[in-house]
Amino acid sequence: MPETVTLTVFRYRPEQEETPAWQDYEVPFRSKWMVLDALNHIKDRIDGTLSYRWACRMGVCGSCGMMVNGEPVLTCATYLEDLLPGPIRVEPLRGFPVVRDLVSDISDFVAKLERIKPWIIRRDVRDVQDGEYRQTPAELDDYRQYSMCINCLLCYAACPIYELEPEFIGPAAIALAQRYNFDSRDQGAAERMEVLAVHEGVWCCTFVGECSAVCPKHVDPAGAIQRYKVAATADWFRSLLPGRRR
Amino acid sequence: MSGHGRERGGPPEPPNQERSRADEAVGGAGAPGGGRDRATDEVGGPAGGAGGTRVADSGGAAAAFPDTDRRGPGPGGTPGNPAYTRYHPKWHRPRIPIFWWLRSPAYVIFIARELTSVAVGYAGLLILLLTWNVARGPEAYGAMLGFLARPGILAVHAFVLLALVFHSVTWLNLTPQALPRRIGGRRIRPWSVLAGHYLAWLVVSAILVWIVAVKS
Repeated sequence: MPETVTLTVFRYRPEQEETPAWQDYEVPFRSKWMVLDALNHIKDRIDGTLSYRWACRMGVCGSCGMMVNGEPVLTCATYLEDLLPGPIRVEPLRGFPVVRDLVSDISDFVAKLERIKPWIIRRDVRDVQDGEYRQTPAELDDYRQYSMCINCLLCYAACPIYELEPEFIGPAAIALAQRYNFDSRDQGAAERMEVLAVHEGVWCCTFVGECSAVCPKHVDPAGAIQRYKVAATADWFRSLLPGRRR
Repeated sequence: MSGHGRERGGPPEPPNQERSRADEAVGGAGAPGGGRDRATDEVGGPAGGAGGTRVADSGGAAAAFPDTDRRGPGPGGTPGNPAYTRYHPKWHRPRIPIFWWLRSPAYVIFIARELTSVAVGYAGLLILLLTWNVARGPEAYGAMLGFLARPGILAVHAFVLLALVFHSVTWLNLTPQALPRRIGGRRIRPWSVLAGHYLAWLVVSAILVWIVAVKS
């Protein structure tokens, strides 16, 4: 094992420079260190000006997603050991504007997430004294996979369509829409269809499939989108039946 | 906050400070339209900004990032000065390279799958053309078979066959992700979807081979 490993880090300091630059940092190599540990070492010991996001260090918060050697990963879940001998290239998530260094602006995603109404919509709201909306384990199983999304946005960084067509609502937002559509307690599928069954909704997707390949929580957003296409198509055909209106 | 950076009559501020205050002015939620434009104009001064300080490693930056696209604007961009985006005057937006699909093998396979759909369309047209010539009579059909037996055409069709197989395999492999997870209350397993599709492909191919090789 080497003594040190080199990280080639994307630097962009808007108050100082017009264009980004690469900066090399040599960090001590430790077995079981993650890329995030190396970045924290840089921040603490070498260069305090380096900016990046992180929080939980255990693959739950979804803050530390970055491009490492061109792949979108959670840096808290990517071993340095697996990237030897280096240099290891660290960049901000692809597809989002860069605010500074490794920090991207994700407000586009947040706005899109709001549009799909990621909450349980009820037409008939029960009184509190009537108790909770109950659900069988099989019904929970229908949407559980999609509820695992941590909004880390690796799927957006892996999706070339989102980069090419920024109006695309994107993999995680659609997977989260499906999380509620498949929930037996939810009655808002028709409302979400207005946002999703349009070009910038599911029909932008050409099924590259990389969103599912990079998802650290195995949410399978590509599957969610394709299943939504099937549902939207069935809904369209149903709308052609006599006596039915879209 | 929106008034910062536009105070009149005060002592001249150091350039960097002026810039950061101008940024604040841009970010001011209540900033009137005219004030906002003026503020962004201040920020969008000569290249390098008012500060004029640059770090050592930014010297070769333009060469390192030739694809840099700073034209903007993104959501909430400022129409008067598209190089800057409202609230975020100095976002970096990399330009997407035309060969983006060479970034990873998965993208190459995706593009190949999309392109080989042309071969699928071609094969469909060829079958229609054959059927049309069958209807025109034995002579026309024979002439077409003779044309198809030319070495050049055979070579093209060998390539078309490879493209069809590639398209079919990559397409069928995606089917488990596209089908509902539950049909009629029964949970659908991915392997059963795959097995069903490949079995159907095999059966149809076997029937065609039987018709072509045995019956004719």
